[in-house]
Amino acid sequence: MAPASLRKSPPSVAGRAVRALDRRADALFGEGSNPLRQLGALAVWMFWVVLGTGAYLYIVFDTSASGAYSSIDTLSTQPWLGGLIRSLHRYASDGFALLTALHVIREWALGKYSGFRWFSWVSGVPLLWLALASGLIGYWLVADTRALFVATGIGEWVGAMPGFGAGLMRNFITVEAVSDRLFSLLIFLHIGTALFILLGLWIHLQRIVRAATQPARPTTLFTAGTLLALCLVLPGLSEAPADFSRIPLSVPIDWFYAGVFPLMQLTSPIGLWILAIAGSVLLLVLPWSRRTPRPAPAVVDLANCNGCGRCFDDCPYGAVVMAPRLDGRRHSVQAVVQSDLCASCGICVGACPSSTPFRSVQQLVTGIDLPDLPLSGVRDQVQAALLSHPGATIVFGCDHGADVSQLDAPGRINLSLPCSGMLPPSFTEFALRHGAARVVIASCGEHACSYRLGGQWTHDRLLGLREPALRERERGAQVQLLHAQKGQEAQLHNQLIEIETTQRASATPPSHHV
Amino acid sequence: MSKFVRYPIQAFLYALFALVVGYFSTSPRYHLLNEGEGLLRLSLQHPGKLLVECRQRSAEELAKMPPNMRTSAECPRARSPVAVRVELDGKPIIDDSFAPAGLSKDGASAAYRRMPIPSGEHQLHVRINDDKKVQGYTHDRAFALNVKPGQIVLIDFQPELGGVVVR
Repeated sequence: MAPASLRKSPPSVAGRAVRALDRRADALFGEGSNPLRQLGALAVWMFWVVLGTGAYLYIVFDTSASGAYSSIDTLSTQPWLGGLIRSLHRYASDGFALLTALHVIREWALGKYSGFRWFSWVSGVPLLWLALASGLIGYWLVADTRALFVATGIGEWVGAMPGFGAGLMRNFITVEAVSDRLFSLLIFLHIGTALFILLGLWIHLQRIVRAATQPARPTTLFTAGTLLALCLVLPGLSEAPADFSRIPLSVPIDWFYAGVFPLMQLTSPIGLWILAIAGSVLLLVLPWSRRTPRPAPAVVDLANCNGCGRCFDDCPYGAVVMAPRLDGRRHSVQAVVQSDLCASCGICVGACPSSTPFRSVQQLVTGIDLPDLPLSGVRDQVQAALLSHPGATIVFGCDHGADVSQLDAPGRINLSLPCSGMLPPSFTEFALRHGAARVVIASCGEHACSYRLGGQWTHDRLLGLREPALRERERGAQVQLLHAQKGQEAQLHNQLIEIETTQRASATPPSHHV
Repeated sequence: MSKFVRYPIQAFLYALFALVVGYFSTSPRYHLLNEGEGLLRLSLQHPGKLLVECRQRSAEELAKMPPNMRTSAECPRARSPVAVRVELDGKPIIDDSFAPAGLSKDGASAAYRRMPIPSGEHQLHVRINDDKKVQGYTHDRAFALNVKPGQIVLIDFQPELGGVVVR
């Protein structure tokens, strides 16, 4: 069996802080509606609002140099349609920037950027540049004093790059230089970069199966309501029209996007390029900065694979594909693991119909297995532990959830798996038949799984909603599914004591059984 | 946690999110100038003179060349950098040389500088040399300015308007 260090790395201080914050937010919002667990989905939701409102603004926008300002400023006189849509466009863009930044920080803090996750991390970096470009160009279109500040900032910044030169600034330094064609180009760039974000998001989510791009309904509604309220209280308005002969003493800049320019004033255009490029390179190489040994990917045993496709359906990262059969058996397809994509979570092992411990074979070999933690080893551990502790409570924990090794108590056997989703439901029946008094599966929960779908699949399998399902007659007080995340060991311990005490005292099952 | 406690806290946190978005959308204001300052900008794009004058090829030289390349004059493309010196009230505030663009150094030189200046009356003296072969400056012009707070003074180079202009 693989040492624990191979299966999980110790969380960083930032990771512990995020988890602590998550637990508090779970208690407040409910795990499924906790906005902190849906930052990426919320950012995508904001992006859809930006696209929707942007489509309307594009219809009313006048792309001439003389009409651009008034076409947008006029919207402010229509507070219930144009003004609201304009304000929504601005605040949803800001929300998108804020949520994207929080999403990046959260994933970094939780260490979700290396190993098999490198592609999702790296493909997210260009999206940051595209979002910045689209946001800045959007402000330029308004043609007010803020737009002039942004235009000057972009001109000075881009002009510092070899190949552009100081001549770039001359395109928008005097009123004669600004032509209708410039605004046509800007709207093209604004929409073009937004469409590239859409394409980038599609690439970003390529290795995420069933990506959660839509937040939970309460979160969606509350966020939309919050944005609408903000638009009504503080409508987005234009500043005075851009004046090339005067410069205001101060400008109310949007710090989510134009915040780069004060940084440029503090340093220099070249200094900002160095900072921006160094930051991007740092983000791009971050996945390879950790030297944590990677557990071995899942392997398929063709002799025990009937090509049913359950591992393919359940894999959260699309690491299992179904390919034409190569061994000549009658099944048409076989499972193939794409090693680079494999998280070694074991969810595929829990999905495999061959993963039943009752099979009358000398050595339990399943259709798909983890070399570092073979299912036969888990079965041997269960058997050996129950031989020495008959009548015990057996607790199957998750390496990324509550640490079950801290729950030692007389009459209790604790086993930790990479993910609760690795446990085939038949193992609960196997443990009970071999003398366990009860089986408790301590999962991270349906919305808090480190491997995204393990908690959901565990819940669904134990409730008979998903294959392989726990047999109906086995569902009852003796098989319990509890949710406990890292740091909630004490609560889990108390729940276990309550279950053990209740079941010993009465045959009445507790209310939270499977 | 009771819903009577949870819901108000949830509402507060969503409002906090809106507050952060709303506030940083326009605040704090970024100060571009100090009170009573104007802005001086130099922006010009001008090709310097050719570094080497065209030379007529001799008959022997032309005879050695392939027939399709026999042009009578040889004109190296490289241009002179454009040197700019700007003095405000007798003090130099810009004194730089701007290289021609392009790999062959045959493009226009472009310059851009900006700096805040105090409002009020100033003497502005702009001198430009666009020909390396000439000692000193090829264009020289002085201006008396009365800069108002927030005013942008743009120094440009427009040969058709007589060279250095202030807008």
